[in-house]
Amino acid sequence: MKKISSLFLLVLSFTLVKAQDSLQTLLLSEVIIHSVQTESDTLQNFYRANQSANTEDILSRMNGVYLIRRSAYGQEPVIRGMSGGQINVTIDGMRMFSACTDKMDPVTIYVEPQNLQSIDASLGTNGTSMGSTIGGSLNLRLAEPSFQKNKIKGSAGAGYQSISNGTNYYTDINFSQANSAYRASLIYRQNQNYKDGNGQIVDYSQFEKTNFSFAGKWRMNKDTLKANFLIDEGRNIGFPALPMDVGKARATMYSLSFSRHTNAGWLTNFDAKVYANEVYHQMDDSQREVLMHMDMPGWSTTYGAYAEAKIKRLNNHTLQVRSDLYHNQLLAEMVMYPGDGSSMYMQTWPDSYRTVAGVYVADDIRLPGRVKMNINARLDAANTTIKEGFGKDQLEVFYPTFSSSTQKLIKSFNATARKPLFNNFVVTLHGGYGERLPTNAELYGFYLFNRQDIHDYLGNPHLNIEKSLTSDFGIEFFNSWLELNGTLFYQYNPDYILAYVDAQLDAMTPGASGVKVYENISHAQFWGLELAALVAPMKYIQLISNFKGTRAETFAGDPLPFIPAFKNVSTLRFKKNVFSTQLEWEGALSQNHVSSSFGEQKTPAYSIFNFRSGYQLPTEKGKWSINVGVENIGNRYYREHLDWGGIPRPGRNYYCSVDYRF
Amino acid sequence: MKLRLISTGIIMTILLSFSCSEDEIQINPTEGLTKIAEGVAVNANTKVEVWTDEEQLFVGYNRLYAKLTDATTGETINESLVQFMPMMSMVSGMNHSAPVDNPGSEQAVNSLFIGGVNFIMPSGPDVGSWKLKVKVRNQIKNVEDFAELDMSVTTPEKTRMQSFTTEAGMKYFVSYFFPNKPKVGVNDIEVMIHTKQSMDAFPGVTDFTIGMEPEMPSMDHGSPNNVSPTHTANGHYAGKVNFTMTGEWRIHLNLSKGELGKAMYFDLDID
Ligand SMILES: [Cu+2]
Ligand SMILES: [Cu+2]
Repeated sequence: MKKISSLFLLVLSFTLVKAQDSLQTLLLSEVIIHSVQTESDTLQNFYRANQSANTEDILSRMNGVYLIRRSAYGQEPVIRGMSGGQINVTIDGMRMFSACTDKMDPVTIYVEPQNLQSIDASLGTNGTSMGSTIGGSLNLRLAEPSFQKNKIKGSAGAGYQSISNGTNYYTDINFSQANSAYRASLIYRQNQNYKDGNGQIVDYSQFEKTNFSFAGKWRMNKDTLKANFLIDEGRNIGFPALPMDVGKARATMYSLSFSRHTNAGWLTNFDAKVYANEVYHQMDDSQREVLMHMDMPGWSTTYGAYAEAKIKRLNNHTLQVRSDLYHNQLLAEMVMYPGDGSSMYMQTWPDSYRTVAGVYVADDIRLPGRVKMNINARLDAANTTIKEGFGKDQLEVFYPTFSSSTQKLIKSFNATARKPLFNNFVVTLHGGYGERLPTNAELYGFYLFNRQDIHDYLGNPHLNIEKSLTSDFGIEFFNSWLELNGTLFYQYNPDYILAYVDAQLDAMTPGASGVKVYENISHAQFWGLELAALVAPMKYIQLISNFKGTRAETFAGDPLPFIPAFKNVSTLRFKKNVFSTQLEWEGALSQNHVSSSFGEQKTPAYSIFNFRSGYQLPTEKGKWSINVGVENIGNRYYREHLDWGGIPRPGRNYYCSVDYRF
Repeated sequence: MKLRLISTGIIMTILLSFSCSEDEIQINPTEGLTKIAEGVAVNANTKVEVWTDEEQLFVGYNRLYAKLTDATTGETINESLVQFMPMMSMVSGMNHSAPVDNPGSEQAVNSLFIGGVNFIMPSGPDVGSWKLKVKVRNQIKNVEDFAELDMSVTTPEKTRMQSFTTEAGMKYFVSYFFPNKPKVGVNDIEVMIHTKQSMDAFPGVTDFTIGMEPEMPSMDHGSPNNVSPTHTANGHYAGKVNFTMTGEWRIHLNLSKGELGKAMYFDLDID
């Protein structure tokens, strides 16, 4: 399986410095970022070395990946302009779903850099190994306990950010014995309201969170058993771009997995996992001045299992098979308290559940002329049911005869070919077809207020699955000191799901100007590119740069909402011995191709600089590292296009962190 | 919570499978109802019990359920004429009746004879007292008699009956009624319009046109896809009203009949 890896750049810096000949291999295969323990000199580690960086900072620098920002914390990943139910976000292969009707809790927030091993990204329809998707997938791998010579290893650190008076502390510890190893990590972050480039405080931008994980690993011959537990609790998370904040949000994850690595028989690898996770989200406006207060709690519970096997190479084929199953249950409520009179209750996500079982098969084929092909296909059978009772009664007001259960088959198919050309080029062609289920919110959502376009959103239980035809054309060039990589893509999405105003309907939320209902439109199309360059003229100096952009329109030529502006991040890095320093330039073009019917405003171009530096101090038993830096050096007042509500980004931020690794 | 639901479900299923004989479902016919009064129609040797949906009778439309038993044997009587005759003795010395719906058939439905009364005034020491005569017929002896029952009628917290008098001096009584307890979702609703012909005669008015619009006053929104009530029989108008959340709702009614137009509303709590 070959993924178009967005992390390619981050890894390249590591590869190039390390060994020239491994470069090509890395370019051609799936990319894995190594965990902290390997202490490999990756750029991701460099970002992580800034202890206040979070997973979002890493995601935002990945190729093809963008973030919708509604607050300082809890940004929602977007892949090439697609998000939500269009993309697939998994943690260690586990399906997990938000419990917030306002998308405050993308599941990526539950993995902190300290317990992140790597992020695998696939763009377009090609990311179906973990589940059906049309926009792409992100799989966040959790750090595992490792077997090491030292019985106990670990680290502890603290960081400070000036712009939000933020502090964060973290520690992790690894304990290993002959056949068992354990790892625990604990992270705490606290940030107050930050200031923008004009020195104005951005109200409701504070947050606080604690993340704890514990993992055990036991090995017997070729078998490994792993158990994982993670709990993440956020408190008092402000959402400046939304009318509500989070009082408390809690996510717990449990998993048990088994793997066997063998060369006997026809199997090479076998992995299986059972898991459960639960999200509770408590959203309220108790800190806001509003005419009528409301509480909006939500619950999401998922159970799942999968098994996957790699089959020994046969002639020119290497097969991978995976089958998976998950069951997700969702409920979100809204209770409104008028000044006098009884409270009002409704279910904004009616009590519903979804069960999906799927099979995925991939074949890596070696063809003559050094051509490699990957063909993969997935088939999912899905049942979605809204439970009888309150939530269904509610929706019957709009859809008197809708049936409470729907069954769908979801199909996807992809083919990728890669061919080296001359000595320095590789050309990639990908074509694929994918489908995705409408989310329960799109099917059954009930008067969900969208602050951006000031409309209440209503689900449509008659929605059809959304489809996509994706094509990618990529070209890579490399020599001893230069790497260039470019990808052009085009996606044609029939039955694209988009919400339109239904003038017949009255808004529910005070202040909302109307009601939008989800529909399948004829089609939408996306196109764009990703460019990446790595220059390493000297051993100590690297320049990496990546440029990404997407355009998207409906069949009628109207701009789709929430399409990021063309953006570039370039990093010039100097590293010698214990000292490293880095200058980053980040900028975006203006986005004028906006959807006014979705309340979007045009976003001006921006350009900011960041400076980072690190110093390492080895001692007898361990190593100290000190990091200091400045972000947004020019104290620019700016925002990105996917930042909701015109909320500006932080102004100049000084940060520092100290940690000790042993 | 889920587990409890499931186990309750299982227990219910077991109970049901034990309590259901093959051809009849013996659910207590007065389950969920409140007994208002009982008395005996002596000459018909029939004991009459009157039940209703809510805890007590109120000013407005009350569905009444008559349960008849043989006064001697206590056996349920399933066939009889049943007529409700409400009568109010006012403190002022005047007597009057109220709009009435009598059971449509002489056959009981699940052992009950169902009708209704729109009590147009409350009872009380300053106002007067209500009596309900329930006329029954002993099928065997072919003797008709009535039981006379005292009714206490309260003023509900939220108005459920309104009356108005036209310039021409016609008096109309408007009340509403939910065949099933109103809930969030789609609800059947009946609006009843009666007029006063004499102290004893309050016939239904069949030719009003009703416009209906629910509203949530505290939030200033309504609900879509309501069906305005249209006339079915005896001054009853049936429609559908939709509530999208719990809380306090207001049902606006626009009544029109020829030149006559009248707007009014009823407030109610949905939970
Ligand atoms: Cu929320
Ligand atoms: Cu309301």
